[in-house]
Amino acid sequence: MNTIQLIFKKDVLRLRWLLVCWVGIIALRCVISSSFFLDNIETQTRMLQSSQWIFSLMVFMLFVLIPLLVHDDSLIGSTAFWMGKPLSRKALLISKTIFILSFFIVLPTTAELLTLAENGITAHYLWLAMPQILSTWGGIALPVFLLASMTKKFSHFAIALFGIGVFCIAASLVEKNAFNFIMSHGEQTPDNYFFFIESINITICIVNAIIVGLSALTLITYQYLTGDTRKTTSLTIMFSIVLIIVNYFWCWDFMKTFSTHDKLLSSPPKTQIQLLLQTTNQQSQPEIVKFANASNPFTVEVNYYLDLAPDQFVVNIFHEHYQIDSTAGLIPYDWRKESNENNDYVNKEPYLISLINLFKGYHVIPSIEQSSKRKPSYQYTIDGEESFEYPLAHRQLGARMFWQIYRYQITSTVPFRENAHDKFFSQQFIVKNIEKSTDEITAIILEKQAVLKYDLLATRDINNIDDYDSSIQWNNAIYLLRNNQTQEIVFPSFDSDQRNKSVGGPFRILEGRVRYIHFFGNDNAPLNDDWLKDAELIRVDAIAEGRHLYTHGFYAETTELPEE
Amino acid sequence: MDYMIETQQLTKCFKRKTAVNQLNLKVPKGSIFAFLGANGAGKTTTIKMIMNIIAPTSGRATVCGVDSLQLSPSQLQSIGYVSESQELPEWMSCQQLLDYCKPMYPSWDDNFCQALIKQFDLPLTEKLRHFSRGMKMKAALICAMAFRPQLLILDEPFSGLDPLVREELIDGLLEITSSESWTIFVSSHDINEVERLADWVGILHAGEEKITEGVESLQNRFKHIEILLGDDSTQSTKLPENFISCQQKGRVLRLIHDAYQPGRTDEEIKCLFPTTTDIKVQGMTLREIFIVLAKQYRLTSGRGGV
Repeated sequence: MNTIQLIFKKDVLRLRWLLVCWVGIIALRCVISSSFFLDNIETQTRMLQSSQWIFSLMVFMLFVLIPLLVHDDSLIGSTAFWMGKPLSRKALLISKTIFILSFFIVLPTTAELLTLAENGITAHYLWLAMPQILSTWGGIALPVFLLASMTKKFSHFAIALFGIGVFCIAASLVEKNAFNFIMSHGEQTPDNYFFFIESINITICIVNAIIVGLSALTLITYQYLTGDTRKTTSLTIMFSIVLIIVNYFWCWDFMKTFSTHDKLLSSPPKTQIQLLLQTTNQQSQPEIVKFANASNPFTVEVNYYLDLAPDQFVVNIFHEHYQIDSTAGLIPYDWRKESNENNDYVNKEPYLISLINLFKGYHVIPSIEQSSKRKPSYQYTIDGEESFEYPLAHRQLGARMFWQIYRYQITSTVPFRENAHDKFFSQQFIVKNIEKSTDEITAIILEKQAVLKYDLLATRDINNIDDYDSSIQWNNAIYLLRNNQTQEIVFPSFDSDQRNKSVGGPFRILEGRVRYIHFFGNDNAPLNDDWLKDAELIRVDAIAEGRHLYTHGFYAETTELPEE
Repeated sequence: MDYMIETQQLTKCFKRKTAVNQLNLKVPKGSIFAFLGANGAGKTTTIKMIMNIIAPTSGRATVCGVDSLQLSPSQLQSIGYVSESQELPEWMSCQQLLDYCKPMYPSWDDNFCQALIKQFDLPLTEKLRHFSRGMKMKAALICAMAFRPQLLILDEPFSGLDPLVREELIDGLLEITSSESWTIFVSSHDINEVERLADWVGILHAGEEKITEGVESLQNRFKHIEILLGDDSTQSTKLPENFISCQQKGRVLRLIHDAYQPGRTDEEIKCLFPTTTDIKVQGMTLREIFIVLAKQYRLTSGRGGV
């Protein structure tokens, strides 16, 4: 037995019971994340909620197990048992690294990939997910390994960790305030802000995790081979500063290259669904949405761009007004306060305008809520994230638009009855309950999907990055009723959901949702028993094709309200 | 003469303190070398530099003919090292510790190991954390001796042990070394511990080497001399350097000579003290020699002794 194996075997012997707990927790996480509990909502809810805690527990265990492993053959001081024995630093390094890679990186990664596979994720996406999952566990385990190798015992490790935590909090406060200062005093344009948001995406997270992991491994190797803790500490601090600077100033522009997709524009979703179902061939027209208040009337005009000729429109490819630059939608609070108007678009509360509401008529599908209660200022949020104050100049509102490009397709057709279910890709659903009243039907549908995405800042599917294939977007699934005999289609009137917590971690493995979908009958589709006996439930999913970013797409100036 | 350990101008500084200062040490092969010095003299630091646990500030050391900085696992396979400050894996039992150490040493002798276990009477299945200090030291010694090392380095192995355990360990070492041709390098601040063991002595004081010499040679040259004078008048003769610690009580003059030579020294005494009527020469124990030297160093350096 060589010394590497000897040390490895000794470490396994020492940590055997903790390793049993570790493997048990991984197995438990796999079980509760499996597709086994789909049709039992109460169990599913409890399982998915508890899975969130399991990930946190796993991370906590890493912060205990790795120091225990490393400190058993400490590099610090001169009294460790291995010193004076025929055990080389190289053998220690290799043995500990193999141990950590095997048990704390490869094992949980493999378990998660198996769980994803069991939940219907295909091999293609598993292959894409692997770097994400590996970089998650590596990005946690390797820095802990580094810190443990630079400390003699657990108490020192804990103190150092606490110090790093305090430093990170202080640094983030400084960074945030510095950023705000720069943006409010410099000649920054909205572009920079949006590129900042655009850049905080999964690619940065993965790239950072890989860089952090590889760098940690390099520093660990240096520490083990030289034992020069002072120099290792200096290098670590230096590297951390470089990483922060690179992220701050460079990654934005770099990631900008992944943010644009040239796609064609077409008509709103509902029309396209109708096109999909071949019930209409209508194309919609541009709309003008008007705002006004007594003292500062202005308009926001939405136009299609002249450089897109109609013959470039492709059936089933269309756009959706998803998000508008805050400056366009942000009507200053003091203006709104003075207004005599009080409607969905202008109100007197210190709310931001719900940007999506500007285009309410076009939306069938609920989108990310934009409005939030804020103090009267120019702050706004996107995706729930705090933004900075952006000063307006001369009452001119600039704007840009993001066009989220979806392609709708029918993914499932099942008879409209209780317990009808289907499974496709990583999605599963079951019609749990159908409640009927006079002319209304409520279908309670349980959904479960396995997704691969970070939800740190922007919930962007990993598959939505550059050349990856398109993926099914959770929020954009629509259920329709169709009568097989008459071919009449009933769109949902109201759709609410309760979302269950998913398996924890920086990316979600599983999400569960209960949807309450209300259908109202009409003359053509009365939704009575006769109608319903030939009814089928159609699920239409939006496949995200990409995003198209227009800068300075349109603007509004405060002008006199044009005559009708 | 072959030397198992040699140091040349070996120096170690910690910030402003010089722990070891230009040490030139030679440990003959096959000897039992007692490395003596007060607490804080630099003994442990010297040993750690020899074992390449810490790097010297300057100078060099060679161990088994290899530069200490180049000591590789293959060389360490023939060196046994025990230190009173070394941590043992306390979660292991004694048997597990031996099983862990055995594959490291190709020359591990199971029969010898069993003999040592029997001699030291250690419980094999008990965890090391439940061992007393003396038992831990015994366990560490077994790990360091079971593979029949060429060089055995013991850093304060008897420190903190009660006399009975100390005697057991020393008896055990004596028994083993009588049949093995090992080189043993043992450090201690208490001469009593190593007096029975050592045949070579090195004395370290304030990081500097003072003496490195065979015990026999030391004992041959250091002698108690009792001079009976013709009268009790106080002697005011200025004595040469070799005459240490001179005390007169009545007609009896007692002193220590550090370079005694039979006949020649007697003649020298008679020249210095013409009224001498009798000279009695007695040998000194290693302990007595060490105390005399320690007092001398203290006087010359102005620092505290042992």
